[in-house]
Amino acid sequence: MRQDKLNRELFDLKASSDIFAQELDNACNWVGCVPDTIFKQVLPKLKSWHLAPRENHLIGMAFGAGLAGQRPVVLIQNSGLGLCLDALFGTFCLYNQGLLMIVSNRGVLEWEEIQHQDWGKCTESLLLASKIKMIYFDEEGIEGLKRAAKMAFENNQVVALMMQRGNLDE
Amino acid sequence: MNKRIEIIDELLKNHPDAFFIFSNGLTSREASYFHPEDRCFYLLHGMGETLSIGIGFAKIQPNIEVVVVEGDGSALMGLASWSLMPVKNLHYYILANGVHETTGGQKLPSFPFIPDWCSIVEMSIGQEGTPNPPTPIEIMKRCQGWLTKNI
Repeated sequence: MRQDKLNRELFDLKASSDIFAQELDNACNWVGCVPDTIFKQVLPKLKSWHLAPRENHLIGMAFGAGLAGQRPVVLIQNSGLGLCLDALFGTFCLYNQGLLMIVSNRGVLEWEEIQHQDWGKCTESLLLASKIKMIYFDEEGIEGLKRAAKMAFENNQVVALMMQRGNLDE
Repeated sequence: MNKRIEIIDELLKNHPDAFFIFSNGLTSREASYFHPEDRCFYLLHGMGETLSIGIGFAKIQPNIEVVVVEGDGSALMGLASWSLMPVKNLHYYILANGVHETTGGQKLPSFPFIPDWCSIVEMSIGQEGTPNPPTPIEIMKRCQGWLTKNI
């Protein structure tokens, strides 16, 4: 663990936003996002990305892009799982298509604002119950990103790369 | 007023080269049974996502004409995706009978506005008897055959 300028605890830095964006562009050719603070330095460094108004529509767009021949990745905050789980089940899961999800795991650290705390407590168990494979960026860094993408598109499954606060430069 | 299946038939004839995406429920069920075509993707679930799927597809394949057809209940669920429209190569049709017919005919609220890129097609209440729709694997396999040739 490390500390930010306000002496708040953060997870270890695992990659710069430049490297993360570059590797994301290498692994996938369609990027969509409902923005989260954790991704704010990454998004401007991507070749291009698509904004969606809600996470469920982001999943729909990604599925359409997948049908059109792309390897899609979506970047969302963990709270967005609450909006998009049915869309995930009804598209990628039902039709056995590959999707990489980059999920910011907000609300895990004690100092994080109260509105994130419920999601911090239930995100992993929700994904586990949904049988969505998780890979932890905090443990594997960029290699985890590469492994998650490979697993998603070679096995045609949904894979979530879990990002902790501090793993990227914000 | 026309039946759902008659409208779908006409839309398929009016867009002979287009890739179609049908919403789940009776729309996909009747379309897949009475007009099974490889250029059609039939959603079995994911209510409210038909348009966003069409948008994701159409933006990547600007040279393919895309037609999204969904019921008015599904369209109301997906209203936030309207913010991503219009998309030049995407036609959007809402089959409107004013009720959630699949679940027993519950009355729907009206649309807050109708943009000029959205075609509302009034249809009668009522459904054709259909067997279970094709499996997701069958749908994807047939559809990918068409996509491979056309992308």
